[in-house]
Amino acid sequence: MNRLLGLNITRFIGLMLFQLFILNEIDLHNFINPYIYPLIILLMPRTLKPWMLMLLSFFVGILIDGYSNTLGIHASACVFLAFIRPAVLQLVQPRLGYNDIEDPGSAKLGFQWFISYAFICILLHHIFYFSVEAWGFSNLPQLGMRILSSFLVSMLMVILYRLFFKTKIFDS
Amino acid sequence: MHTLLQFLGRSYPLFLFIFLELVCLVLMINHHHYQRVSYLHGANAFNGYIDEKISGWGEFLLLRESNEQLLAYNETLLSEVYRTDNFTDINSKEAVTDTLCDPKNNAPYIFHSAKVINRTVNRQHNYLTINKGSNDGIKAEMGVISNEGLVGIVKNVSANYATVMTLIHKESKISALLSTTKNFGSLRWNGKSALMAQLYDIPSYVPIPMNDTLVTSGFSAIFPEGIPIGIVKEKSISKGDSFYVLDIKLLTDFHTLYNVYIIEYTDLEERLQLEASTIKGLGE
Repeated sequence: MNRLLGLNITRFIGLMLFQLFILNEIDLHNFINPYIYPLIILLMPRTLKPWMLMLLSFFVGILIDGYSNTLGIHASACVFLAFIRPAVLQLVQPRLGYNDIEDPGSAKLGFQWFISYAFICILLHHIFYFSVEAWGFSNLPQLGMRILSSFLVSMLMVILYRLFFKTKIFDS
Repeated sequence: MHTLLQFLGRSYPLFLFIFLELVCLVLMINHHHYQRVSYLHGANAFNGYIDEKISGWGEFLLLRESNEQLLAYNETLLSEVYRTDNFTDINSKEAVTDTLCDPKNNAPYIFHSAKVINRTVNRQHNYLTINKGSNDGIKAEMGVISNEGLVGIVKNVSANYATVMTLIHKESKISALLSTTKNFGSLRWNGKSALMAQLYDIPSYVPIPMNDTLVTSGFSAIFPEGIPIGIVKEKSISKGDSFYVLDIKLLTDFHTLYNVYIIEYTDLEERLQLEASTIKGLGE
């Protein structure tokens, strides 16, 4: 359990720094704003109580907001992600159940499982975030483009993250 | 009562979710969701400090470019001085058209220079952070220009820093003038490209010369007249509409922008008072 805590804290710091000082600074295109920080929330221990998960996510969101000038927007998307995470975990449950595997990033759950889990969560997070940022659906095609292009880049980075850190850290 | 408590106990995540989302909503609305977060004042100063550190590196990388910009600007200034000197002997009205450079006109504008220490260009609501604040006499609603053209309007000010709402911001709205036809329009941004903004409200009977320069109108008390904004690149008109939408290539490159000038209008209060009293007079 302590190991898992340490892992989560390291991940929190690492991904936060990467998001704020690298991803937020890189300017790819007006429509591409990738966000990798939702991984912090996705990979929190599976049996974490919902209220704990939501409060922690709120905190993560507020931190991102404070540095990217969007007070409340990231926080709301994070809380949303935390709220739907249990349902998504239920949805993508492996046929044999989770078997007490605490860490959703564990290699025992398999690469394919992780990708489908991250796909759903990141997509929902992006839809929520960009809709709130645009403050409505008045320009649907543009909003759709922003969501889709950012999502693809974010997802690519999530996959890279998984490939990089799989062997070393995830096997607990 | 028991079942109610049970229900509440079981679905507390939903209530917590709604509660936290409401908190977020309040946060967004309090900051008009597009305004720069002044947050806690201390936090802002801290962020400003970090931004300045980071920008130190960016500054270094952009030295060459900003040098070139400064040289180009110096050239235009020199030519301006030369022109006014030549014309002082001739008692002509066209001698000095630019009120900014006319010493006799006692131009009511003061320019403060500042450096950009943080910026966003890829959001729907884009801001700059500059390293001058209320200690340097910067106030909200002052205009900001660069060597190349118009940049935006100061929104929030702390002691040593200020944030600027740029032209590429969904809520930005600037009164602008086509320099050859002298038609007024309103410049806004459709959120698509950081290089282009859109000019609205130009009637369809006006002949639009392509590559015409768009300048500020001077109607608002924020910008003096004649500051360049952009160049007309394309015109379009929707069916049944009697106004053009013009695509304007912005002169300011928000990606490389580094040196900016904040315009202080010293007669602002006098002007606003006069206008207010006129309106009041009409009301009575």
